[in-house]
Amino acid sequence: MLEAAIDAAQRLFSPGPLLVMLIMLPISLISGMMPGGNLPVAVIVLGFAGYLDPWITVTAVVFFLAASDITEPVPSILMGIPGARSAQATILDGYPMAQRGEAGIALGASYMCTLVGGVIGAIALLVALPISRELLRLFGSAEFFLLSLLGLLCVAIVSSGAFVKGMLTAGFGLAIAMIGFSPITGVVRADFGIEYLWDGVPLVPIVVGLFALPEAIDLVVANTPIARERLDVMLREANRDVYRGMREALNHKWLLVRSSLIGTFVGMMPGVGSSGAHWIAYAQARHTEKGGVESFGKGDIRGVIAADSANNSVDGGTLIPTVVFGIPGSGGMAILLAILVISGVQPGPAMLTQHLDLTVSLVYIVALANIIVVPIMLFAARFITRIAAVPPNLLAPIVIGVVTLAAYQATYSIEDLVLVLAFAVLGVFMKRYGWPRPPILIAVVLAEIVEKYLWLSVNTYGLSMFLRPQFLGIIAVMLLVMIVSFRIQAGAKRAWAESSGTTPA
Amino acid sequence: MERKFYHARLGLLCAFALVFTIAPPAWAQTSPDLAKLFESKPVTIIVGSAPGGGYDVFGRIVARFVGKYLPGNPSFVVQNIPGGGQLRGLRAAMKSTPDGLTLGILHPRFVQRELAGIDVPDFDLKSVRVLGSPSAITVSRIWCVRRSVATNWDELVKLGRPVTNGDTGPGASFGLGPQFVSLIGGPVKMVYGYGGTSEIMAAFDRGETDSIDRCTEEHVPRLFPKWIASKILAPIFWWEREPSKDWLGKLGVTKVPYIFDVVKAEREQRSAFELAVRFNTFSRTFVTPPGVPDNVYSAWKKAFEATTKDPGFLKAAAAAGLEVGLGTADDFNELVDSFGKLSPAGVKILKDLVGQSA
Repeated sequence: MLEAAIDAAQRLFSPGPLLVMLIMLPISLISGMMPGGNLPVAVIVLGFAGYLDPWITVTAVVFFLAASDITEPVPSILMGIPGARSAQATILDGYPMAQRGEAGIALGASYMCTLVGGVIGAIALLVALPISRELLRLFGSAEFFLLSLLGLLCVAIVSSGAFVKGMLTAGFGLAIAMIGFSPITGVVRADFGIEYLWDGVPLVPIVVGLFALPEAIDLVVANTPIARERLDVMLREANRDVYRGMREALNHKWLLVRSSLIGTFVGMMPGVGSSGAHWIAYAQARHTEKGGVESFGKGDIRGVIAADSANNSVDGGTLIPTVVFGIPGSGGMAILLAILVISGVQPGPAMLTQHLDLTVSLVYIVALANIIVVPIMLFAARFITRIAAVPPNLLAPIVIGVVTLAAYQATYSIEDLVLVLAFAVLGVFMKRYGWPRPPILIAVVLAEIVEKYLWLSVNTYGLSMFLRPQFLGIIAVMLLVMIVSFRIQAGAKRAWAESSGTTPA
Repeated sequence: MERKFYHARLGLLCAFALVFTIAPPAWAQTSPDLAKLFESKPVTIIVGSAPGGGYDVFGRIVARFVGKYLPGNPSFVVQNIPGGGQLRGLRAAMKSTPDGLTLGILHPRFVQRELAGIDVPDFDLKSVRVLGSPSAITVSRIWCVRRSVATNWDELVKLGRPVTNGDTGPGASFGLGPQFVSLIGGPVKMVYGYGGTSEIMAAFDRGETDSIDRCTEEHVPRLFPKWIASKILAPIFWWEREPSKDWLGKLGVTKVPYIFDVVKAEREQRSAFELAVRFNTFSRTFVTPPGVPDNVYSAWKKAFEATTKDPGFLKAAAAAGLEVGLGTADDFNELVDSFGKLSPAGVKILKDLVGQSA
């Protein structure tokens, strides 16, 4: 292992890979901030596979994917636009903070969590590699179902105060997710005879329509910039705000580490990881942090810390099933897999023996991406926060134009734009009448995974899945979190009541 | 006599004059035009699946090497249009300009659907111009069961319950054997929904399924070599191509029966199965839309043949774990014609095998 680590370092820190990281750096910074996701650029890198040295193409795509994930929280925090794959839970607290004029604090905390989470994910990858195959053997479709269901149950978390509405909108999201080819039988469902819907409703138009356009319209109607309070202070003390955010993140070390470990662990579960990790981390933080149940969703920095730590640590986790079993956990990992195969490197046990140096280099690349990109973003944060002060008549058209373009590249069909419009109308009404929108997103993202693993679990384990030790173990952890949560929330209520001289409810 | 000789020479002279008048333009019409065509813009290969999949990987490798066998040595662009189980990509290819600068890759399921009377929009089996398949190979397919469950077919039948076999979906090439057994009431339960070979094998490895249809030299040593050492696999039957003795030795047996040596099937059922197997060997068929000029089509067919023998192509395919074997347009047409010999009952079985009976 040590020899492989040294070989990997020598090969990685050579002109070719270093140059390619330099080239991918600005591309990843911009790409990560676009709502359409980072896959189109990764596909371009795929075109070079077979022509260039595998070390170059693998470095390019892994660095790009890791680095672009770091910039994904920017639209979530500043404009309330969740990422297509990650940085979704961040909007729940990040955007309210930006509206309060605390965008700099949110960004500072986000990047510190991103750095720490990314490094923890990379270390976890390195530590888990030698035992990864045995580790992953412990978990099967039943556990993947439970974890993805857990992510889906976060609907309840994000609907606090409007529980019934949240459940209804989640149901609507599940219905949308059913459209298209069934992941099991291949039969088309509810396509209404429209070929465009055969592959389901694409996610990016939903995100853009449901979140980006209503927020842009809201800004114009209210005629205020994103930051509705503390605007002067925000502009004057941008630097200080960013450092304050970083300090806040470090003040919640245990939350940061815990969420990062959750992100890495869930990231290892094929298919579940990249979509569900940040929701699960957010949910556990909400229920285990003092007063979390009341304050999360209203601009509590701890919500940003939990979501973004997991958001980035998940990259280390998703690499494990990709490299060790050839099971990609996301679209980006599928492209990495293709690059490896075309380059003659077969994922599997050989990645831990013959190609161990290449595998270890993945750890270095993920860590390097964080170490390089985060300081750049921290420096840039003081300028980025100014977006929250831009007049709405200037910002809204730009946002609408950019996000609509991003939505079009989902399938390059005019129907993408029709969908954006339809969901924008829905999003405006939902926002106006207090219907929570995140449950739709959670449901659409996780429904197919939940359906697939439920089907596989029932058809392979049957009822005996409820007797599997791993399954019971996860349920035990969930129950433990619930018990701890009740005690913490009860303790917080008692403490508040004592301090205000009232009887706790 | 002299007059006759004079007339003969005159006639010959006229003939030569005619040849040299007509031939150069005709010659100029084929070769220079083709070069001009292929130099005019890049060739697009439309892949109907997401980047990174098997069809995509193969399309990119073909794109790297086939160009040098075409006049003008064109450049290539691989365009992914996933969706509809590769149907969107196929339709895009079929609706493209028939100038020979756009190719599609045809999945065998669409051929079988058309033949089974299920219309595939924008795709006409009679008019599509088939170039060939560079991966028309028979491979050895073996179905194995966990040795702790059963060691042969008789034990499997006596088990009294079906054994689970994971696969992606109905009609998948590797799963045809156990799927067929399941369709005719045998002791197999197909569990569809797994994402691909790696997921299916990982599921078997952790004990989630009882059997595995990827029990081949191509997959096991690469992904789960410990299965060989621990001898957990009990081969039950093979189909398509008999496995090598060397591989059987590694599995701990000297012989494994052919599927129909142990599975009792009606003649019509057997015919349908064998036809489905033949269709699946013709995977990744490169096609152009109807209406492509004859000379362009002919150039493409020759280029394909040459590519499958190209050392660089063979090396790149081997590095990616892909076996190469040319299936020509004539082979394809012969396969399509053999469908006509199936009885209605056989057609029904074939429809079930490709997952179109619902």
